[in-house]
Amino acid sequence: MKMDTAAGLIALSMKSPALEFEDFDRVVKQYRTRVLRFLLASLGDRDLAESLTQDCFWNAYKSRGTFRGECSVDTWLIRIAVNLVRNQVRTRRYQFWKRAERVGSDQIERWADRNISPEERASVNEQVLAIWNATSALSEKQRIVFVLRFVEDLDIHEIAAATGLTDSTVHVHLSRAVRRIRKSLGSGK
Amino acid sequence: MSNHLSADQFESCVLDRAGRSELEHISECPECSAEVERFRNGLTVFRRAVRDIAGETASFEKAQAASMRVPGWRWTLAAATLIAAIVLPLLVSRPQPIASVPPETSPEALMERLNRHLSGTVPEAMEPALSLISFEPPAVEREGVQ
Repeated sequence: MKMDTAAGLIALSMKSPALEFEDFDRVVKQYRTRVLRFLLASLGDRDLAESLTQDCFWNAYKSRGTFRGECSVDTWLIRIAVNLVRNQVRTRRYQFWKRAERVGSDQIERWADRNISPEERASVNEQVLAIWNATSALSEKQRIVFVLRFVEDLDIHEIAAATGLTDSTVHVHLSRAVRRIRKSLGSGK
Repeated sequence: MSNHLSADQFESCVLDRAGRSELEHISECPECSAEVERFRNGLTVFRRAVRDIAGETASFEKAQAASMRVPGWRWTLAAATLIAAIVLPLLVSRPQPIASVPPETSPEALMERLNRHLSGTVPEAMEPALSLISFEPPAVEREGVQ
């Protein structure tokens, strides 16, 4: 059965529990990295992102019966992840985690280990780190829409579906996020 | 008044919503064109970095899970050892079957045994002692009778 379609997941809920579980396992395998990536970029905390990725799939598994295919499985999972980010930001737990292990400059430096000159590498690192730090200064909604747009490549409608916001609200948050990041990078007026 | 893109126009360009006027300006102004390009490049590099870091994290997690997972053959070996540990002592201490079980299973044989028991003069436990007593009369007495 093809699992990347909404119909595929709906069909899951009609099958035997064992098979259903096996197929849900495939959903996890297929979308896990994407969910983890979104959470990592939204929270900037690897441990927390990993933990919330587990929560995301557990919540999805529990509520799989309510999924009716109005959106793609992708969007459905991201919506669950968005709610987890919102809850996390609003709890004091996040304040604790904020002090815990975060994605730092060392990780970004290790990342840029490409076939480029040391000068280029330094420039790339600086760029990435500057944007990374700038995103952490955004408001929760701005950061979520920014990550969905520029990391996950979702369009305005998909972001609206994942966040429960209207298209125009998404656009406003996105414009403000770009403006603030540009300002943080020192090029905005 | 500035001859360059306003903040709103710049955002429109970055968000792929640029109108005709913005596109015209970018094509004519190398400064704005370079700035939009630089910002877009920064976002592209940022996306690549996040994707790679998340991919690394995911594969690290997978490797961790794999190292914690016990291979199938080890489970089989453990199960076989456990079964052997349970079954072998049972086989060794298994009671030997009694070789001489009287084949008194027919109703006639059982009835005969019952009759013998009821007509016994002493309790069954005493029967071995009977073999020590002779019920044959002495030879002298027998001769006298004759």
